[in-house]
Parts: sequence; structure tokens; C-alpha cells
Amino acid sequence: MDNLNRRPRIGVYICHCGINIGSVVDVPGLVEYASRLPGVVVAREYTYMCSDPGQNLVKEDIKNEGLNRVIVASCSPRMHEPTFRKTLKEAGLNPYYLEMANIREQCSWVHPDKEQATHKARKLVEAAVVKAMLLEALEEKEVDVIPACLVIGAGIAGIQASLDIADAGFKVYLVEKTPSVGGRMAQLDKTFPTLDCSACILTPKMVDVANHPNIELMSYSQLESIEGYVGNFKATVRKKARFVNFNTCTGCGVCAENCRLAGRIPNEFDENIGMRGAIYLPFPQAVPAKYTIDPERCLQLTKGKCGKEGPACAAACGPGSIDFEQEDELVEIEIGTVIVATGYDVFDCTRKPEYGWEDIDNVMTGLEFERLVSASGPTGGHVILGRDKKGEGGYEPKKVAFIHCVGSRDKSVGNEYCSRVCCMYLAKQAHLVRDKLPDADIAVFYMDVRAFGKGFEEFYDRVRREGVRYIRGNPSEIYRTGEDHTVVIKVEDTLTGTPMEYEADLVVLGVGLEPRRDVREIIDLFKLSQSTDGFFMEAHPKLRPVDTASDGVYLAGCCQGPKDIPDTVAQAKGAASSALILMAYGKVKVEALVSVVSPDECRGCGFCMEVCPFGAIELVDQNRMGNIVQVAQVNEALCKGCGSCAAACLSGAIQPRSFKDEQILPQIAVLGVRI
Amino acid sequence: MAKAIPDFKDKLSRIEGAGRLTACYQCSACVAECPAAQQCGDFNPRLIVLAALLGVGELLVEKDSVIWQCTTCYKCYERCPQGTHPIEVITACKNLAAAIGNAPEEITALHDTVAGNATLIMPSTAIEKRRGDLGLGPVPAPAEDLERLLE
Repeated sequence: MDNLNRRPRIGVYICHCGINIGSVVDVPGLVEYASRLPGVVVAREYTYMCSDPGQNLVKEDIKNEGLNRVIVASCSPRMHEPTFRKTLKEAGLNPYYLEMANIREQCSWVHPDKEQATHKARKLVEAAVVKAMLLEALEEKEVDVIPACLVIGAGIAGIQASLDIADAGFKVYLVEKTPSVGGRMAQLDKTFPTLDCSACILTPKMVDVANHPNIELMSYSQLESIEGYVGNFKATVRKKARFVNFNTCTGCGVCAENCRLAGRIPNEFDENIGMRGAIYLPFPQAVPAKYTIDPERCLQLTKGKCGKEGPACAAACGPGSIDFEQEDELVEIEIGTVIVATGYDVFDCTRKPEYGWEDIDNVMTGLEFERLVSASGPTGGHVILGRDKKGEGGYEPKKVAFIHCVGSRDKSVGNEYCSRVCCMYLAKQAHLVRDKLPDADIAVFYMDVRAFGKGFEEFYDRVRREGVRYIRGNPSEIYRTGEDHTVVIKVEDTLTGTPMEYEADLVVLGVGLEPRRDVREIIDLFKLSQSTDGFFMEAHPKLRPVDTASDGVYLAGCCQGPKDIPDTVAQAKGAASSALILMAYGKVKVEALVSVVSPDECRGCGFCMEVCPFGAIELVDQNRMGNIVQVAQVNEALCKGCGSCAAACLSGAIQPRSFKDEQILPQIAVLGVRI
Repeated sequence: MAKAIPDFKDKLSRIEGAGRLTACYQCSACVAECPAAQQCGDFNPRLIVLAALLGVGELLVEKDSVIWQCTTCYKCYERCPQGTHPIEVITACKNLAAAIGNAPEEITALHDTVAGNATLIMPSTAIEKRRGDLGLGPVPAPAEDLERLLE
């Protein structure tokens, strides 16, 4: 605190940033200018201030010249403010005595005129000097981190992240919306390019999350609300009623066999091409192996009556586990970190009506085809189409066509991005058709083949050698002619320039990946942002790919962007590691630049509370000369110091630290703006 | 062999509507849908965009160019996943061709009628008589600033 009482001794450090600043701004002239400003004791320049020697310059001067304020004129504070705060701290100065003048992003990068840029840089440095004199020392606080993590979504990303955190000895709450863990990966038949059976490599992990002593699996549950801040979240999870006693159900399946609606309800897990009953297990390897009653379809639950003799499932169930009176249960949990792993939906083909997916039953999506070829799927893995409701009849396709980029790389449906998996899953599916139907004619219509991953190009080559024809052209229309199964694809072979009408009796659309349709719910709960493609936005696209702008909330898997299984697993491990860093250290620093209320000036209107995007402000009672009045109070752990409250406050009673009116108005005045 | 004009695509993309020319990734969704491509062997909207991109624009704007076979049905506009819209590129080429006097005679004649009289067909005594019978009065004279409007 003794720094406060002394006259400001300011050091100004001007960075060339290589040629980023140096080639536009006259740096030596700027140093000369800065050295003459009031309070400035030293002014120096250096090629890269953020480098070790650059930082040492600052440290040496603090020691030798007795500096108590430091100004670094370089890039945006977003880039290097943490770097230089650390420098000040290491030299024994309060890190909040640092002020940065942004002469790169807001000056040299955007102003081609050297003279004007130099003039602006001078003004920015001068303003920083004025602000530096008004800076206050601030203390950073630390809070404890609750050693537990909430993982949302139990696909491969959520499963892997949960296992890593649980294995490290921390508690995990794994919340899954559907009755079973497994996610999209459980729906797949084989995985590219190694042709591992997806279920075979996934089910052991599914069982592990269910049995791990540190993991509390909450299947058929949804996150209802979450409040708190990094290290100290409180969440409410709704455990939806299964109408089956979870503890006594043995998973024997007699109930499902006896359900009056057995085989009459489309099974979501089979992408609606297979059927289930009103009481069901989504797939044979489901974890937990507990049956669930669909409350929207069950006769007893919707009509209050099921047949003359009452519900057949209840009559058949040996342990008497069916319980139509069961209700949703709200569970409160306390966690320190959150991993969002909510996955993706495939492209909705009704948005591309020219491909006829809605009307033609032998035009199907890639995910529907996965269920068709899967041994646990409705046809037991046989490629048979057009079966009747009893699962009889049908035909084997003779000519199969695969179409790339359906709903990806397509501005007309609003998806500009590449979905990264379609090239390879279509190649894999073409291989599976070749395997199961050796005589079939197989054609793949592509624009480009992106076989970029490990073993991908080799696999693509193998598939072509297996007699799969790759035809370069983007079909414009798919339609049916006549009564038989023939489907016509209108396309041009661009390599020979021949327009053609290609006939097939099975068309598989290589649908792309999209954000979940209910993505809004998670966004609202966590205040996450979205990239332009609609997927969740990471804190930094290169250097913080698993963090979000909300501290303590991490991303894993396809909710952040399309990726294949290895990339998803890698990111899940990254997210787990990020969460573990906080929990292993056990403490987290809370932002010191938070808003403070001057209670005597506050009129208790609550405007600040309304505009606060982080829910950090509440109104509390205060005794003012015997009168109880309401005043605003800031929860410093939640506040991010954004300043919205200060802008809304009519009496100037709430101000963000280091950006108080009396600190920034003089700074603005220097820049030539009259207040 | 046509001479490549490197800045042909820049010239084109300055024309309203044709600006997204360089986004074309040659997927051919336009071709499979194009009625002209099916009926006339040498018309191909994808190749027209490619020719414009490669700068062999002379081929496109020369007399009797293939571009005049476009029926302006706008199907390519609807299918294009990149928003390139071949029809806009073709229309831009037509304008360039017309500007250097390479439009087909019928088109030039049509242009002159519109530019001269603000009508699609030449006025004639038969038309004036018929209008009189219907009580429509004489054909109104073209607006004074017709030339500026057409620009």
C-alpha cells in the first residue's frame, strides 16, 4: 500500500511487435514524446515486449528506478494484459498498477497513414499516463473449488470425460437425457477407417461409467437449472419418471414383449426405421439395462386404461417393478466444474426437398443406413428394404448410390461448413454394402473427397479398389419413376462433362452434422455463445479449444463442432484435464476487476440487477438512519466486470474497479473528447 | 485457342449479381438441373462459370456465343449451394457482349425497340387503330429520361 502514498513514478514501454507496430508508428519518436509526459520516469522501446528480455526491462526498472506504475503500449490487453500483470507481480508491484495502450489492433493494424497513426499512438499513450496516475491497488481473492464435476451428455465425449475425472479421484455427475448412455456412437455399426465394431468398443466404457464408484450416472434426466460461479455451482437435475422401479427392474424384457403397443411405435434409437413398444429398452446393450415407459405413448398413462384386463406389462413383470404413480424427482447437486458434451443432430433432409427424402422410402440418411446395417438394428444387419410392418418381404437393393455433402458446404441451407465425417462414413458404408451385397453396383457422388485423418486415404483407396465408383458431381434432384423401386438421380459427371440420369434402388444421403435442435436450452443455462455455424464457441479457436467464456464450463465433442470419434475422445480428455486442473489445485482466483456499490448513493432501483448478464447483483436491505432501504450488492465471484451496471446506473453508485468514472473520464478527455 | 484475360472475372464480378463468381466449387448442381444443357449439347452453366474464372471470357462474349442459349429459367439460381448463381454470371456476360456489339441481331433489334420507344414491339398504324377502337388513346410517348432510366 505504500505505493499509493508516493508520487506516481511511471515507466512507459513501447513495443515494436516486430514490424506490426514498428513499420507504421514512429516508435523512437513516441518514446521521446512519452518521456516528456508528467510523471514518466523512464520510457523505452523494445522489439518484442512480451519476450523474456522485454519483461526483464520492466522488472529491472521497477527495481532500479523505483517505478510504481507501468504502461505497456503494445497489443490489445486481451492478448497480453495477464502476461504483464504477472511481470509486475514478480517484481513486487501490485499487478493492477499496469495500464496498457493498444497501439496495434486499434492503431497500427487499422491506420495505413503513418503520420496519423503515430499521432493517435501518442494520444493513446498520453491517455494511459493519465489513467495510470489514477489506478488503485487491487487484491485478488481465491475461493475453494468443490471437487465434483457435472458432465452433460453421455455420448462418447461425456463418457470419456467422466471416466478420466472419476479415475483421477473426483466425483462426477453424468446427466443423460435419454434412457441409455452411449449417444450417437452407440447407433453406429462399424467405425472408419479401422472397421472396429462401434458397439464392441463402446459398451465396455458404457458399463464402466455405470459401475464406477466415483460416477453418479443420472440417465433419463435433464439439467433444470444452474447457478453459482466457477468452483461453486449449484445445479438442479430433473430425474424423469421411468414408471419402472429402477432398483427392482432386472431388464428381462418380459414387459416389452407383452406391451399392447409392442412393435408399433417408431424407435428413436433406430432413427425411426425400427419399432418398439410403449415400454422399451432403446437397444439391447443399453446401460442402465432398465426399461422405461414412454409417457406420451403408453395407453395407461395417456388414456388411463390399457385393455380390459389392465396393463399387460404390469401383469407380466415378475418383480412387480411397474409403477404408474412414479413422479419426476428433482435432485440438487453441488459441483465445481461443468463439461458440456451435448453432441449433435444430423441434417434435417426436409430442408432439401429436391432430394425427396420425405417421400421416397428408399432414399435414407446415413444415420438411418447405420441402423439398417447394424446387427442390433431392425433387420438384424441385412440390407433389406421395403419390409412390411411384421418385418416380412422386402428386397435387396441392386444399385446403391451415396451422395456427399447433403446439408454441408451448402449456403442455400445455411450450412457453410464441412461436416468432416461424411466422406469417410460414406466410404465405410459403401464398403459395408460391397461386403453384404457383393454383386451390387455402388456409386458415390462427390464434390471433393477429404480423406485427411490417420488411415483415411488408405481406406478411401481400398474402397475404390473394391469396385465402388466415385463420380464427381453434385446431384440436383432425386425422384422416383413408375411403380418399382427405381429412383433417378439427376447429375452431371463433371470430369467428362456428361449430364446423366443415374438410376438406383437405394440412395444414401451423406447428411452433415448440425447443432442439436434444443441447443437453446443449454445456451440459456450456461450463457454460452455460438460460432457462426451454430455450434458452441470455444474461448479461443487455437489456444483454448475446450474452454468457454464462462469460467469452469468446458466443451467436449460435437457440440463444439463436427468431429470424428478420435477427435471427440481427444477433446473429451482435454476438457477433463481442464476441469481437473481447477479441482486438483482446489482454489480459483476470482476476478479483481469487479463492480463495487457505493451504498449511500444507491437508490435501490434495481436497473443494474436487470442489465447484469451474469446475475451477479441483488438488492439487499440496508439500515439508513433508522430507515430500511434496499441497495444493490455485488456477488464478486459472479461479476465479470463488464460494466453494464455502471452504464445503467442513474446515480453513478455502481462502478467497475479500475474503470470508475473518475478514472476513465480524464483518460477520454485526453483523447480530445469533451465531456 | 482463346486468349486468357486474367482480369475478366474481376470485370464480371463488378457487375451487379455476378459478384459471387469466385465462390463456385464446380459441383455441377446447376448442370443437372439445366433444361438448356439437356437440349443443347454444348451449353453447360458450370463450364461457363469455369471459363469466366479462367479468364477465357472472349469465348463467352464473342458473336454466336453459347451463352445466348440460356433460357433464364433460374433453376441454377435455386440449386446453387454456393450462392454463385450461374444465371447472374451468364446475364453479366450477355451485357458485356452486347456492349461490344456482339449480341445476336434479334436481341439488338429488341433492345433498340425498347430503348427507342419504351415498348417491346414497334408501334404501327394497326396498333393505334385497335387502341382507338378500345378507347385506350394513342401510345404514350416515352419518358424524357428513358435513356438514363435504362442505364
